[in-house]
Amino acid sequence: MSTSQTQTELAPYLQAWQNFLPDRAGEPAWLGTLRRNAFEQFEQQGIPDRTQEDWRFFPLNALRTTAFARPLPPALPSLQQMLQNHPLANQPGPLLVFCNGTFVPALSRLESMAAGIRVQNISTLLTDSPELLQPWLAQQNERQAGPFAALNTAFMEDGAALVLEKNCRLQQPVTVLFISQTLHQSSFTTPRLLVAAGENSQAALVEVFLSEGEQTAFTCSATEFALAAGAQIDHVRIAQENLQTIHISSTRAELQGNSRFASHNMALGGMLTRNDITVGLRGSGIHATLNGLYLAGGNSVIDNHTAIDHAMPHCESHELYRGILYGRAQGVFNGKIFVQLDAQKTDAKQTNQALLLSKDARLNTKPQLEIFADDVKCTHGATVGQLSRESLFYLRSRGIGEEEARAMLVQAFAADVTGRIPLETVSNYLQQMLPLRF
Amino acid sequence: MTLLEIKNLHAAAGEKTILRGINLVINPGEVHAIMGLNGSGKSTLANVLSGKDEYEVTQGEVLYEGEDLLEKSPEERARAGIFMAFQYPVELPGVNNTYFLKAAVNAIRRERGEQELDAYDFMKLVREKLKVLDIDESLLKRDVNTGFSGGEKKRNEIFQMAVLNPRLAILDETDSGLDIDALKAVGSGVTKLRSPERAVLVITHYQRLLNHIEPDFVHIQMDGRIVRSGDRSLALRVEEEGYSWLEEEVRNGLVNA
Repeated sequence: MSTSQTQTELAPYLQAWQNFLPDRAGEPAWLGTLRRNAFEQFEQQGIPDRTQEDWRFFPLNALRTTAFARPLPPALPSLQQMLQNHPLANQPGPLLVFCNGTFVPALSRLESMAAGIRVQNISTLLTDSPELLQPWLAQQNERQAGPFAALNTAFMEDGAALVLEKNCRLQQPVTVLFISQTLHQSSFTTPRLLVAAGENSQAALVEVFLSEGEQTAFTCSATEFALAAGAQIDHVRIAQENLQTIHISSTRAELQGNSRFASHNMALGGMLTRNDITVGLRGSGIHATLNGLYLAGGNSVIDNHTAIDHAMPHCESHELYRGILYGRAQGVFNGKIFVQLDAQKTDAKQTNQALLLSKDARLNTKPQLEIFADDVKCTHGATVGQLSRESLFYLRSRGIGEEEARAMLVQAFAADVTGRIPLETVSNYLQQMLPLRF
Repeated sequence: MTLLEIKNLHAAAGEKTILRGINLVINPGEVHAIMGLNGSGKSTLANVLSGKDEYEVTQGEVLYEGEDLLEKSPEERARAGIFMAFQYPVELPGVNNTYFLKAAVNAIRRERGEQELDAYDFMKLVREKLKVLDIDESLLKRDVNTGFSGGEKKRNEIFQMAVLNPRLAILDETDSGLDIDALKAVGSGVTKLRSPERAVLVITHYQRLLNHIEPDFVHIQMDGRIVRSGDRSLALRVEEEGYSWLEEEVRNGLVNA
């Protein structure tokens, strides 16, 4: 790609950057440096094209041809109505609501927390205790995380932060809702989630992306986890935006010895969805779980890239992804597992299973194991199939109509993944969100 | 009124003709048994009646309550009151037994213009049937047939039959793979479900299930046709002497008129 082309396609972002910077004058200097470095990196890397191996199956032209505007301020009444009976907005525990990049205190619930636990929106923390954020924000593999993680850091407006001191445990999940209100115009948002979990701390987070309205949106999300020794974190990520949305996310987790990290990546909406999840196992005795469910119909594309880096001995990683593709949807699953020379006795297991429910649905699945240690157990498996005819016939022979029978079997297929989420409200919600016809 | 009438039914799987002219009349309240050796087409008959699309009917017709059965989809047949207990019930991991049965009951009720059962009434019905059949309630929490033993699967079929309350129950080799206790349990379950409104068609290789479900009529199927019909004594003779005497007679042209 020539420089002039790159500049042309980045022009809207340059313009936005020039408008954005003056607004951030009151921020700590270190953040300004982070932002400038990140934007520079975005400029250097540009928007990937399909000649790049990691972006082979992901059509990014929409990002070149659509000029996504920074969003309007949230309109509260309709938002309030939308969340009033939403099961995830009403589950117990702290709730942070963001709309079009802005924190909405009126719809959030930040009950007082025990000492050592801070759940807050990032921009408030930047004002009242920036020292809590500085050690963690944008500190992980910024160079390797790709242009979109950099784009998020450059334009990060607000988001949620959870900072847990040693031995602090949250009894109830933290729910974070990022809503794109696209009633009248397209929008570009940069949601951020940061979790710094001290030694032996524990929490569960539910990060949810929703839309209100049917206009196009570009959600460029970034999430960072830093788990100290013995910390335990469950992260549920639910992307359920409208069918015009481009959703690109980068989730990074750095795990220290004996910690447990479970990612539950639920991709149920959007037009183009790309999730990158990168987990670094930096001590011994770590358990990392990466589960995912992806569902796409119509002309949607869903692309999950996961990478697990086993750097130290005696760690386990378990990965189960299940996909449901119908219509003309395309799915991509790429699972990298690195087992470094020092990572003896690694136990890594990866499984990707997909249902293709129409003749035009497609899946590209690629396990990628790079193993440098010699005493390890690494397995991977991928299956792609249709609903079992025998099972369908069995259900129909009991009077259940074909459409309902298909939906039941799809729900059962999904339940194996949703059922692993340790929050019943969330897994029930996900099962109810599955379509009733395919 | 006749419940089921099979007239000169021919069916094929691909190129291979399996049924070569089955004739059978079943009235409400009757229990019929079809016996025969492997390969005689017994299970094909059951599958054709329940609507499995692997078979093509090449000739003949089947009337159920006076209507053409063969043009109905499998779910329409079930809603009209036909129930098939499978020889190999499939496992449905992730599909809860209670949820599955409730969907089935309500699909059938909707078709009959009856109100759907709510959770309370449905559980009442289910518990009552569990009690009648002496089945443990833990069955309700499990996924359909998943990890069940052979006997548990067959008992689950009978339990489904009890809940769905069919007018015609077809038991396809329900005795295969069962030990004596399971056989007894299944047999007594079916016997408890006998009623003047319900007919049962038992398809079996061996006579032993018929010790527990006493048939009114016994038919012997060979090479895709029913070659002899009689009462219980026919089954007993087959048990004692095997099928060769009958094969001999058939070769000599002695077939049911």
